[in-house]
Amino acid sequence: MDSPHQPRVRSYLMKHIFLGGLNVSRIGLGAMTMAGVYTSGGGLDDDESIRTIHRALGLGVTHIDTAEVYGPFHSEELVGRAIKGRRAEVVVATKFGLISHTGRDPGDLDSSPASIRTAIEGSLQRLGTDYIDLYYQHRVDPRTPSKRPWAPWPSWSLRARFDSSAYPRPAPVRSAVPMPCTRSLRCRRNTPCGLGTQRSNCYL
Amino acid sequence: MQTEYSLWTRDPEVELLPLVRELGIGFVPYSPLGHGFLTGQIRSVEDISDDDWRKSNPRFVGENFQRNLRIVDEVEAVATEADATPPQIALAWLLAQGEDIAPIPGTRRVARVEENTAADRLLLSVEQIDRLNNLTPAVGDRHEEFYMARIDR
Repeated sequence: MDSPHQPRVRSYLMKHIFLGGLNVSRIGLGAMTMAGVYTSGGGLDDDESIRTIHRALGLGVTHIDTAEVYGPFHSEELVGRAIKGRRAEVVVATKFGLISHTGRDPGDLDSSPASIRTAIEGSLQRLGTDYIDLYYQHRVDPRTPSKRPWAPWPSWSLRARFDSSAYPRPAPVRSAVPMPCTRSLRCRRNTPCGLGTQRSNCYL
Repeated sequence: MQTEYSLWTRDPEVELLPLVRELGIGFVPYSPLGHGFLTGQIRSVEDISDDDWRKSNPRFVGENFQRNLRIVDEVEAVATEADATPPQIALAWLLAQGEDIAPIPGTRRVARVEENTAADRLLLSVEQIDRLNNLTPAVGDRHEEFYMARIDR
């Protein structure tokens, strides 16, 4: 599959900015409604959703945002279908933590390492890729405390993926970040940050 | 870092946005069009179907909905002046807040993605941004209490 490290040459149709180490078009595309999260409006039109993603790419959008919980899973599946063969053109952001993969009650938040591992596998498969550019923790899980609140899921659960021989380098997750994070950011401001900011388990 | 930020949800300006800038990290505003409200396409609670969770969102119900329409009217006035559409104004205002902001407007329609991305080329005047900065504040919480309690932790 495409490597996230390969040089990309393109003329930008739209202004770009940096999110941490990720270069993105400053207008992205949210794929939540494609799974009918507000309303299905009497039915979903997957073909139109995919045309929408293709049109976005054609207009210079390079940042697509989805989550396993949208649908659930349907939004990621549509994004995967739409970017097939074009993976290197886009920064794909997805999210974990709102679906429990360890048997907690439906609706319970789950950022346990086991749940994250299953979530990553599922997202990679649906997105048809071997790496996620930007992986958000969708909600903080109060049952999975962290000594480092700015990286509130146990960092080894992601690092384990990086070191796993099951994956070719680079890491399957380029950037991981807590999404709802006023407290996390406050904490980080007051905490020496010795970790890299690109292509490792880091923060945007 | 991703959270809700738009013309009618400006909470991040108090603490989050300054923090993000202090730390030199990016900011991804979600619901930049206020769950569709700022597009001007939702004019009555009857426009929202019963299976739509916005139906019970505090900003979309009863008197709050009616009062929040004033925000849409003001955005539409700026849109007319700028020869643009309300969602383009909402996005252009966000982009004017800094070079570190990358909103992710959601849509499932080709025509909307064309409309939204065109906001990249829209430059608002200082006076227009000033008017938008001084919009009537939204009435109603962002979400029902149960959801809010989970969001910003």
